[in-house]
Amino acid sequence: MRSILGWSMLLLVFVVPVLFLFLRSITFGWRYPDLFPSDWSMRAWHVIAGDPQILQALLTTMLVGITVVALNLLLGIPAAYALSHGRLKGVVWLETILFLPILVPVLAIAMGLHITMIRLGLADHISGVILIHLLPTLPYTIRVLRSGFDRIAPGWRRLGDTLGAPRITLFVTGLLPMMRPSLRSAAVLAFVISLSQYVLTAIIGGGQVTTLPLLYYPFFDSADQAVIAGFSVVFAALPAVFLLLWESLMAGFTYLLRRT
Amino acid sequence: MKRYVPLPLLLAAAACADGEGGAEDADTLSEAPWEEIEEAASGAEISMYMWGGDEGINAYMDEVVAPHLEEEYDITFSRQPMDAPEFLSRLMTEREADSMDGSGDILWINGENFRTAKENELLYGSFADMLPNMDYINEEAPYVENDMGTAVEGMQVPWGNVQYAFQFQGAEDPPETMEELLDWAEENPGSMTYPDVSNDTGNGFVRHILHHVAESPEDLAEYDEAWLEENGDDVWETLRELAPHLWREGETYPDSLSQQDQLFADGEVSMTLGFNEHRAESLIEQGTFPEDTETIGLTSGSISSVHYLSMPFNTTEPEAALVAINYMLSPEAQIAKLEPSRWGEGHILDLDAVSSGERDEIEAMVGEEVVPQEDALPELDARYVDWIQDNWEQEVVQQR
Amino acid sequence: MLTIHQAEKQFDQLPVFRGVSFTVKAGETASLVGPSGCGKTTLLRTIAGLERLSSGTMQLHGRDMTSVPPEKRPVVLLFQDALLFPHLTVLENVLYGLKYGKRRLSRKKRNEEAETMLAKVEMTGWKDHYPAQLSGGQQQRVSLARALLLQPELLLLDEPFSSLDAHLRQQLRLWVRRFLKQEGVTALFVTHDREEAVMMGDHLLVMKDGLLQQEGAPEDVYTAPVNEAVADVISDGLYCEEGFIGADRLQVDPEGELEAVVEHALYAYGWRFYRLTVHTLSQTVVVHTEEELTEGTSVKLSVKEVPEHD
Repeated sequence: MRSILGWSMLLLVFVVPVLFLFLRSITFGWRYPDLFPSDWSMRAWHVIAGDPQILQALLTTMLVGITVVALNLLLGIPAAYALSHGRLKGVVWLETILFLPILVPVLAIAMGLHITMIRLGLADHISGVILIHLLPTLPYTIRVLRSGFDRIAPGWRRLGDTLGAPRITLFVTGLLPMMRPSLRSAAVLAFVISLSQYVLTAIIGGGQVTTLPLLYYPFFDSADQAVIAGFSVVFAALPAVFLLLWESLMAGFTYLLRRT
Repeated sequence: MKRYVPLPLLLAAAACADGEGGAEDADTLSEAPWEEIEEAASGAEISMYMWGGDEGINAYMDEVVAPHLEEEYDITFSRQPMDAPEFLSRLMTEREADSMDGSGDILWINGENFRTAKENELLYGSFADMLPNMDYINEEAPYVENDMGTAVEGMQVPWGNVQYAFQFQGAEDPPETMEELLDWAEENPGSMTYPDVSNDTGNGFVRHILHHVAESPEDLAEYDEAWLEENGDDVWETLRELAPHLWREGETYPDSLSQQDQLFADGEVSMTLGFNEHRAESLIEQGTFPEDTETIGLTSGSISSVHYLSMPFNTTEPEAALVAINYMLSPEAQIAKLEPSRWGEGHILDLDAVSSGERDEIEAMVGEEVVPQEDALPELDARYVDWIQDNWEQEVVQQR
Repeated sequence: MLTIHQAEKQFDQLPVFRGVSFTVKAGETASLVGPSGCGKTTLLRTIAGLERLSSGTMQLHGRDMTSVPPEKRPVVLLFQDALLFPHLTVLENVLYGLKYGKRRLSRKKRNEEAETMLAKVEMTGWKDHYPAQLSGGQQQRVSLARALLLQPELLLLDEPFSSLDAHLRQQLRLWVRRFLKQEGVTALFVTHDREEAVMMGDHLLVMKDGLLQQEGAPEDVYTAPVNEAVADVISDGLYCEEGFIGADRLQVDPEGELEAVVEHALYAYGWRFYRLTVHTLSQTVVVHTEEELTEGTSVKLSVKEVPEHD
């Protein structure tokens, strides 16, 4: 009974809106107060598919998103672990500093960042965009992973020591698998945040790094609801694709752990 | 093109921009014969910063401009969807960092943004005289020399010309003058509104009210603070009187034109408005606007707005950019731009300079003019735009 | 054989324990009992190598272990919680130490040993289940199996039954005691529960306030605590100037000299007892009497003379 309720909630909150958007994207002249659409048209999808940059943009978006997630985990896992289980002094200060990037409005620092990127030679390049996407993602990643590590009893490290497993082994074979839900949340969150960056990508990427929002957001300035709806469906599909990739990766990782 | 750069950002950037201009480069190039420029342009890859939110405009660039440049000149052209605030902010930073390795080669720009770009020396320089196709453009037209009060000095060239027009649905006898429009709003309470003036379309509506208050367009030809001092209150009073009859009794206004268009599409209001008298055609075609949408240009005067093409100071392919801009001014490209199924916006050609065949083609395409040339009003100085933006909120919205 | 000599541990210059010396013989189970905060858990961790001694030495079978890191010590610690990896099956959990830990074996060998050990701890039928599907007692048995597969020369148990309910705890400690004997494991068992300490240990160590107060056979310590602290921790009776008086020698007697207040009645092992507070000594004692007493009233206690027996 409870699971039926859970599934219908999930359906209602996630699937129905996307379905509705999809419907919106293939209708023609579906206006308030018509309850049902009367005419159908694939025009919006022709517009989206017809954009000469769409394929490249999808690939770039995935590449940027996946790399951003990888860097987030690479930097976020040790940082979160140290914050949670390390005996650091001034943890509160450190946390505040780590959280600063999302408290400061991006536009206020965009120019400074752009100058830095120019000096580093990373402006107008995908690596600069990836680097800059760490700014709005890493604080969240550290937060999510930190609370994940907080839920893991500190006794595990002692257990590893007494069983004689090297710390790193215990970390990879024991703690990380236990962190799987937190890791998944952090990864999806970082991916979605990276996916939605418009201003940072536009300014640092200079149009040379075209991600999906660069094609998609300008349409918000038009009344073309069908195209906006269509793009939104594509937009919503990317995290789903990412989640699928993630879960396969995790399954592969678990399989490897079991095999060896 | 649609929004304005946040002012503090501009000031900050203006303060740190250094004094070097890019004009020398333009001077060097202007010595070269056009054939040499075309030759140097061959094989280049260029990109243009432009708003990317319109299917028709995108299609025009991707299906007409890009293929022609590829075939004719071996230039690879791509558009980079980026709004003016973003590309201006980028260029300012690049100016500050002395980065001459820009990633954009052509800009779509006008008015406020042009002034910002010019004042901060973000533009390539004076290049209009180098373009052979400038011959097709009416050099007498005021907009060639002056863009909303800013001297153009050849740093940008006109690309398209659009009239401000009003769209109605279900109105039996739509108003044709500003006077009638104000009466119509009173007779049809809740049917009309206009976007917030931080938006160019909303601001444009208020600029029409300025013309309405002014005795003659001559009064507004140049920025005149004394006139504002004297007549400013009449402008606000007109808007304040209008407000109670508007959508939601003028308590709130749509944030953007797209929001108003959506209200119009849903039948919540029965009028919308905006630059480009042909803009409703593609919206009807794509099913957004109802079929019976009617477009009216006010006979009491309709502001015509010109938008331009320019080049940033740090283009790495100036020759190719010049060739591309030159092509976009050609009768061929301008006529293709009239095609309503693609972009469908006004040309800037001098009808006396084009061939008779081309003239016939243009006349066939344009059909009956929505706004006859004699009803066109000149665009106002950009400082009027600022004046409206600075005061509207307090004078109109907060007085409710 | 474990030998601790003059062990001392400080945290931020505050001593946790000091001057601790004792021996645990091979094959013996020693119980270390004391109230919480007495330093016993820290002592256990230093023996496991998880903490360093501030001073003193530690030997295992004659080899000095004082500065050997935990992963190199032939010592395994069993924690209060079973700490089984939730994402691994019972079998995989048991294999963990043989795969990544102190005693690595080939896949074939470790599987054989793990199966054997699971059979010994009577968990064979559960080997493909996940920890969440197991009861607390079963989890501790798996945890024990995982530890013993490493063939430690010394097994340390840190209150391993404290998170179980009373009934399960009773069952499991009997089982563990028998199992440790049967396997001939040298073990040091820490608890704050004196009943458990007496039951599990061949040898009893009583700690309080950072000091090792007394050690010996459980019965000797129980019947003859050397000071009030030990009496308080482990024994039933009163400790007064003349020495220790076991509860077996106290009787309710209107002629008695000791005044006590009745706190409440309690029932165990088929008898009724009363908990009494002797205010002059600030101690409580549980005595058996046939009389019915009312809570809150005062009674007198006298001391039975016990004939010397030899």
